[in-house]
Amino acid sequence: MNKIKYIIPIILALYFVFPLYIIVLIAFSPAKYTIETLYQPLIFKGFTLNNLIFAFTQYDFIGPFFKSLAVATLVGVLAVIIGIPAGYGLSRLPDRVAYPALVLLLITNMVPGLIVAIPISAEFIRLGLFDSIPGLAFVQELITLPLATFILRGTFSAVPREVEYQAKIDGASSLKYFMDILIPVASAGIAAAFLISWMFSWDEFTYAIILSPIHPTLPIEIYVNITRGNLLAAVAFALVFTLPVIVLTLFLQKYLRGEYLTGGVKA
Amino acid sequence: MIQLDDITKRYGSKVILNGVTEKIETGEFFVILGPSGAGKSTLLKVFAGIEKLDKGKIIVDGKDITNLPPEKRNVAMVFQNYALYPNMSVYDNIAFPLKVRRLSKNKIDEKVRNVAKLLGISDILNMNVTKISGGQQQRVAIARAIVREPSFYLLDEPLSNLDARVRFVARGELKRIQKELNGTFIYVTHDQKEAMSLADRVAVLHNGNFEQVGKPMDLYEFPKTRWIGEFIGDFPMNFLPGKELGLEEGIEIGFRPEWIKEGGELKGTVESVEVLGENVYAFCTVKDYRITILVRKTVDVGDEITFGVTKFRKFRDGKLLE
Repeated sequence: MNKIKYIIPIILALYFVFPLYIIVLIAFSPAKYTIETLYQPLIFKGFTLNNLIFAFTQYDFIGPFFKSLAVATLVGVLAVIIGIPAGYGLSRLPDRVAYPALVLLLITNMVPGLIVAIPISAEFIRLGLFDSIPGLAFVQELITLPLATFILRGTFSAVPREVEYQAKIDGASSLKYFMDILIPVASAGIAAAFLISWMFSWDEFTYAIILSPIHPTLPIEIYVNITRGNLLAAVAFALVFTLPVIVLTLFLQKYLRGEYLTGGVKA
Repeated sequence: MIQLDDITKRYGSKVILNGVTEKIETGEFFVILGPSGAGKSTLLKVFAGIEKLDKGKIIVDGKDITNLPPEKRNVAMVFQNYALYPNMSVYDNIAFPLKVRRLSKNKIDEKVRNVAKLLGISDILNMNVTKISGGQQQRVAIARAIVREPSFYLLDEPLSNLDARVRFVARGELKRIQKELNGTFIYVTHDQKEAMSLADRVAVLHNGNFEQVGKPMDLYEFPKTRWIGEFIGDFPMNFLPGKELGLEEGIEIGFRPEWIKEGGELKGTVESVEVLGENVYAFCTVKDYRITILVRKTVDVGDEITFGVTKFRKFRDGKLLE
């Protein structure tokens, strides 16, 4: 039994890491060992940086990268800025009111993206938001804001009501209570809400391809390159594409334990 | 002096506080005692300004504070779960009410250190409040309450989360601090032992009103109603129809377990026994009534005991006579 306990997670981990390994393999191997052979080896036979140099010099990579970065960051920031008051409000309502409100919020997540994206794109052209950074961020917010609100509500609910009363009795205004106590106490949940929103936007595809086709985000750029047969460029971009996610996850991993849904606050 | 005038609070159609009227003197240790759900915490929240009143007035030293928000009332409070700010150190927790009032850094430092010394928490000032023991958390909460000079203090069962031994020590300390500060303490508890040992006066909250307000011993000796007699004391007061002792119809007698002598006109069968140190309490049935008495010898379940009542109070319709 004890061994199975280890074997199953290891198999699962390998299963998830394998595609990443293939990307690294193709990115750093000379093309003759990978996409140009019929039977591709699963181990490194040579090492080269030429693929990356080629990809980054021949294709416009910087544009999509920064577009993705800007959109994702805007989505994360907006989700936190709007999600904090929304989550706080819901955390202070009785459950029988708060739960239906949350379910209502999450309904947008049940509607297929395409159905939302097409009418919105028509409206956005009229509003001048089509193909813009804020435009795409606003639409992605449809998915991430309910999630962020849900997470933040859980976080705030875990802060005892008495702490707020105490702050008031101690003479603090509502703003002071928010800034000095509630936000710092809820920092784990806020980080989780930001991260989840950021990562969702970072590899979001449906809205991005419909609402921002002229100046695409990185996932769209990778997709376009794959469909055109520029596999080496696609692989190089994919590699760079995953790096920020890994860095951000490592950086914020102490906040990413299951408990963020219930708050992770110990009072 | 705090005057409560016809304090009324409803939740929907449920009346929680039904016209509470009382005067609390400055420097008094005033304990509000009641079973859970009696509205004690609601009353305290009304004092603090967290709950709005439906009717009535609170006047502190001649000033009407009924409609002031909590941050303008200058009261201090200690919650049952202490409500410490989990993101701050012990020092910052105690300093918070002073920082909000924009005191100078030096003044804050001086006050915090003085209070910490008073409560014996000087050595943990830099620790995070989530990393200290329950007893220490309780001291920090009290320190935060007394660091400024509020017009009165509200304490919501602050000792109930401590284990028995620590609670005993903390009780004595709380009384000492109150005397030292000469502060007006309003203390809520469901533990009548705690109420008896701390209070200058105890108010028993029942059915949304103070059923009796008085010195602890008076509550024990002269419970105004049958309900209070049963609620106050380690064991409820015993009640028997007056005719058992040859009194007129319609009168009930109430007596404490220790107000008896062995051998007498009443006869009971022992149902169970509780030994508390040297004292043995026997739970008996006399006719169809359940009676608890204090006996000096060991008794067994099933024994027959005869006893006489040496002291009793008369009640009619559940209310104390005379």
